[in-house]
Amino acid sequence: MHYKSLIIPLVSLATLVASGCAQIPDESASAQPVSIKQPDTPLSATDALSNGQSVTLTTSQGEIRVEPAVVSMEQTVLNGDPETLPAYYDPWEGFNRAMFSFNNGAYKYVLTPVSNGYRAVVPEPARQSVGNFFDNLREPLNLLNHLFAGEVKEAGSNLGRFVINSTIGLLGLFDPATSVFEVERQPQSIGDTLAVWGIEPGPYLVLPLLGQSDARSGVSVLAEGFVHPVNHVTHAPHNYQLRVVDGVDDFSSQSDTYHTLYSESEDPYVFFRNQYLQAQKRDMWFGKQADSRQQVTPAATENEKNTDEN
Amino acid sequence: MKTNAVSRIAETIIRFRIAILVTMMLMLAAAITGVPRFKIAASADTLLAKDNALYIQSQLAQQTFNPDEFILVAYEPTGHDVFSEQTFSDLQRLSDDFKSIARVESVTSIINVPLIKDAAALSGETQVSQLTWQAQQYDAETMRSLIADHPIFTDLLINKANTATAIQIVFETNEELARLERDIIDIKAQYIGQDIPEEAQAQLDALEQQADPIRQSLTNTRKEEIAAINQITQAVSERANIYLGGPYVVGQHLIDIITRDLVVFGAAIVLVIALLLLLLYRRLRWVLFPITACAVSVGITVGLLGWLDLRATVISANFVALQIILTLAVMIHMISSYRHIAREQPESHQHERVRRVLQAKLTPCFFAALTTSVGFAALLFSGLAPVMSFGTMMLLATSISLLVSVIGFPAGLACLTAKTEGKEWGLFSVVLNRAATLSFQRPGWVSVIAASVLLVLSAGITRLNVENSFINYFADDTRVHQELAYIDKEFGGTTALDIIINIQHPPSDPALLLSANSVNQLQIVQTAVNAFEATGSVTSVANFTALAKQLNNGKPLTEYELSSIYYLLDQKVVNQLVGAYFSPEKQQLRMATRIQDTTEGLDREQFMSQLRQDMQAVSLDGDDYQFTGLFVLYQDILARLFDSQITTLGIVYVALGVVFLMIFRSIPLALIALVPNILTTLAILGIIGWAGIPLDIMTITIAAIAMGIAVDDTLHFVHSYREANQEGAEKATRHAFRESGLAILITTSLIAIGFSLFAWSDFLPSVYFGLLTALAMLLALVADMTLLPALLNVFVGKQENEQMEDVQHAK
Repeated sequence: MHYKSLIIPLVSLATLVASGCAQIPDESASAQPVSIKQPDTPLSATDALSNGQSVTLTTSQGEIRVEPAVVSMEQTVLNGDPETLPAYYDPWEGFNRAMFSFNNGAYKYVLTPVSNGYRAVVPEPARQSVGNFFDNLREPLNLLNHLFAGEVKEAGSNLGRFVINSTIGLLGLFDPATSVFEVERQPQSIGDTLAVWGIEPGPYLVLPLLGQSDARSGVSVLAEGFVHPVNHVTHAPHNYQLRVVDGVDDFSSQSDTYHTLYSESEDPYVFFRNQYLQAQKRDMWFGKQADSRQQVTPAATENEKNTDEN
Repeated sequence: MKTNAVSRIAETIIRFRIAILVTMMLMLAAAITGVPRFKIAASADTLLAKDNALYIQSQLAQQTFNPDEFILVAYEPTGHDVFSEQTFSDLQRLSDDFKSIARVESVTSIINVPLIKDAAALSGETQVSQLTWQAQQYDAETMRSLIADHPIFTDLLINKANTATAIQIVFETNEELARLERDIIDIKAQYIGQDIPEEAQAQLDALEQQADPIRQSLTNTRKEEIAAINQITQAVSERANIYLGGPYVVGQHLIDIITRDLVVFGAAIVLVIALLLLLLYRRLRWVLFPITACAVSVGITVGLLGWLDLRATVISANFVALQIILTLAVMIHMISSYRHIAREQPESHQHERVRRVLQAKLTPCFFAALTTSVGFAALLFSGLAPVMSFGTMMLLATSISLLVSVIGFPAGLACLTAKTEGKEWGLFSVVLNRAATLSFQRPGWVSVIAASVLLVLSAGITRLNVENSFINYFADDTRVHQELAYIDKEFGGTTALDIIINIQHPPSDPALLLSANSVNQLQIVQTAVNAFEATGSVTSVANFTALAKQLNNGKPLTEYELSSIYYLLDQKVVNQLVGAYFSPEKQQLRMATRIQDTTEGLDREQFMSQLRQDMQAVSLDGDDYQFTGLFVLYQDILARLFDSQITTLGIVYVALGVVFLMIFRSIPLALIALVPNILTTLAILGIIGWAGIPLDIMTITIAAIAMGIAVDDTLHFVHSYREANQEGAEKATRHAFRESGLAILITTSLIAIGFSLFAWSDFLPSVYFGLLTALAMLLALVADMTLLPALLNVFVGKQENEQMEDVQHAK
């Protein structure tokens, strides 16, 4: 699910199943800071912006604050020294590349045709209900994860949704919790809970079929497979690809997305990997930034001086 | 000119008077067929110099990013909310009607733009083009939440206050014209900064010839389109105020108002001058002759210009007014002379009178025309197309006026019978006598005081500034002003200023569209540009990333996500959002800005220099970016007009000095004759400076006009003075005041009063033009009636003792 790395950050469901790049809640970030670092030497104004910092410029119209438009996070690293670590840390590249090309074959020759067939046979409302049913089955797991993460309010939502949808929602085939009672979905994976506990995402990892991920999410998926096997076996095949994307259950157009991006790049492996890693660092940085903005601003002022010298 | 030669010319004119009149009529008839071919080109780019690097760069940028030609129609509901069913159905109705206009390619408004609720829509699985009000029928509140403060549509389709919405009517480009213009610019771009070789020039001319009729018909089409749009918007005028904006609308208003002014004020001025002539001379012939001479001169000139395909621009259209002034001046000099002769010898035959008029006035009129022509010929060296064409037109106009009034008029006069002439009004002679006495008795004081006054006025030159605000051309209380100002204030400004940035940070991965550093560089520049009060709408790729960031809960996209979106979105939407702002082939980013013309106290020159300085401050060197667009082109041409006015004035002074030297064959005389001319031109510029009137494309030619008038007066005056100089300074002074002073005073009064009528125009450049011309005439009058005779008396006039010697010598 390579395209997921695109969709997940965009949809910005703060808590994403099996993504590993979920935003880290602020409280825990301050309690157990995740090690995400930028070089000690001041960055130029554009570099600072590209690494997620705001800068203050002095122009003829006075001081103006500039917010980052697009980030690359290339000088920002996880878990190490920004001066020595590469921008895209991928120690398991050999394995990952092999898995990537296996997945590509699987998508192309198996999953896409199967999902197209599924789409052709099962009409849209029915597909929606299938999705709802399995989402409902997941609620106890979400509840546990939220509890372990200390997020009681969200856990309450999970409980409420499970009760409502399993009864009024006819065993979860419908979702009156959202449509009638306005209790929003609060999915939470083991990976999310691990993140809350301050476990770092670890190296980049391409999972079989599920696609790009990281070590922490890999553990999560594996564990959830044990805890909640039915999800993986029957939630198929389109939800394998998409289960995190709100309101989308159309794999074939998603697979178009994947295939389009695949064909646009010379080295699709690098494209999908970098996209994943940039987004991961961006989400961690902006989660962290809320807490440590005070430290970022003075650095930005230095940067601006630096730019002036340039 | 030798006296016998003058007599011979006079004889010829009288003998062949009928033939001359017939020839003139034939010339007029032939020329008049060219009048319909005469064109006033008032579109914005006729004022631009088209061969300079800046213009060519602008055109190249235009081709790279290909922004659309559009008209904005603002819809301000008077009794209902902008976000309401009434608005949506009105927009729907207007859009449908606009689409029926032939050249309309698309109509964009809040009801048919894609409105993206969340980022999922950007990931490729949704048909973004379907996320419109038209497809989804969102309710009013949803529309409000989707559109208010939209990073892309604010200032374009909705104003910041959410009180009005705009419809953007996009017109098809004429492919043929676009191709021709591309070819023209390609050739010009090859030879930037060097002379174009002959065969390339021939190619250019051929292309221009093909392009021209298409442009002409486009101008007409645009006029009809604007009328059609106004017609359509009538349907909703009961519940909404409608305002039209866009560059072509401004152009059309300009053409309309200039044409109307020409007709209304032209007629009014002719009427007033005719009345004044009647009052002055109390003879029908002295009304008919001057008016006919002006009409014939202007008729022949306009016809000739039509045949020569020389087009008047907003600047050179002034030639009509100037030609009338010059013709009237010559006519009044001749008439004054005639009346003087008639009063002196009431019994003389008409032919004798005409002969004597010619003997007295042929030479000074010829020289006055010659010097005026030299002045205008100097404009040919300005190097600026609109000014050069003004110079050419004035050369033609001066020669034609001379022919008509010096040959045609006496020929006509010779056909009439001699009549007794009444006296001139006593007031004139009182004023003139006072001035003559003063300049004779106290030449030192008069010259010092007159020169000081003129110099103090001239000091205002240091306060001159150039400004160019289209909207302020129209008086505040006019509908046009209100309409343009509304669009300017509520929908992001009027005059386009584009910033083209060469990409400095190519992406590290070739699969990436743009690197984060490039976009952030753009973001920095955009933030800096936005910080100016005068910048209205500022759009670029950064608006799109701002939208994406907003949809992404305030977190910026990564560079990979940005590229993914670019690949995934459907091509049409991509083009709509970023096509006009990013050129992957040329690796350039474009930031489209519109400058708000109505910004209080905007100093455009300072704005530009601060902007340049800020570009430096955000680490962009001069080579890394380019300013293009109408705003820059106008600033450039204004700055150069201003400089060229100063330098051409210098050339004019020198050339005039040389011509004066040739005519008077005396260095002191030539120098003295120069003084009132120099001071008049400087003083009128100074007055503009003191009054705080910004010099713009319309008012900048005033110095040339002032010079043309002053030279005329000076030459006549010095000529008459010299005629009587042998008889002593006092006689010479009295003679000059009687012979020329009267005519100068009459001409000045007529024209000053006539041109003051322009004060009632709604078009400020006309107001300034009329009042400043009147003022220039008065200044020239004052300089030539005080300073000039005083100087002549001090330096040239024969003193009593010299006169005695002369008398003794003669004996």
